[in-house]
Amino acid sequence: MTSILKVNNIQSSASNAAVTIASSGALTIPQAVTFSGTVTGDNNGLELVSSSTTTQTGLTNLQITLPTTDDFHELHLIVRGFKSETATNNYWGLTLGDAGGSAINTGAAYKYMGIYGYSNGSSHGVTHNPEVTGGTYGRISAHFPGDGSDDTETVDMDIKIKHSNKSDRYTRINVMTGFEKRHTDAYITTNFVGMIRNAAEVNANINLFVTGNSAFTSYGYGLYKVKS
Amino acid sequence: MTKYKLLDGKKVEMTSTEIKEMEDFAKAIAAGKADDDLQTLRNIRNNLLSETDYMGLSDITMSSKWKTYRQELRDITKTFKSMGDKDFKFPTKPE
Repeated sequence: MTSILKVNNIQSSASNAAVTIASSGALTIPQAVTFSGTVTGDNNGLELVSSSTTTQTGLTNLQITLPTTDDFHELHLIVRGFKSETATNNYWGLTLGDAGGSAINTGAAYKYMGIYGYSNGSSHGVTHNPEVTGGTYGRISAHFPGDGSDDTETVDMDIKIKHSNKSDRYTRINVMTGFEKRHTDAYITTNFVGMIRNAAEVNANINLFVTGNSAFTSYGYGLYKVKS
Repeated sequence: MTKYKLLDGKKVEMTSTEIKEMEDFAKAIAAGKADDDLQTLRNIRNNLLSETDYMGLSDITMSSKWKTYRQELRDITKTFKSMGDKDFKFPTKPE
């Protein structure tokens, strides 16, 4: 036999603030909610796939497994910070990997159109960074990275990935990088890059790195499914 | 040499196969890097030139200092191929 406890309010014995229950069943919760477990079900908006909150040094690649299910609109990858550990005249880049295939899927597969703003204090401008015929990797930054000699020489990224789980669509990626001073001079840059991997394949992972295999530090990341 | 990757948040040692894959990949990227570097230099040089294009209008007389500045901008790719080249800097704008 199922028991039903009928009440209109649930209240802490140490407080007057109560959770109220309307006749419709709607809950009103007057304070912040702390979940101790994973939130599941429809309408929960974001679902954490994987994350790291620790600082890790001496990395050649940051590889994140991508979900291949079909229960999200897009993936949102938040890079909390990267720092090249040396003064290198290379670029931040990304590749995608196929399920069961190479982790760094290259070939003339990546097409992108980047726009970047720059300033050296006296000269400022906006210019472009296109690769529209297909390159071996997706170039995220138009300028050389900082070397982390101070916090302006680090970079954060906001990456949105669509159709990586579709075998009949090209994967589309939008990358925004934050304020970054490069190591060679006073130039500050910020980038926006629209990119596709023009192969209709399910992608198993994403890889972020400095071209030339320079070691870098990760300050952590979070990968989320954006759901209905 | 030991190399590491961050795999789903965990720092792991890369296998010899993975290291070779990354090294081969780096070589493939390096093959096209000179073009990327030169294009980036040209993009910013062109922006700097366009900032002073108005000086070429018929009702403005361009001073010799500005003519020299603009010519040095045009010629910069004869000396430098990358903004990472030793001693690279754009010419200083006249006062």
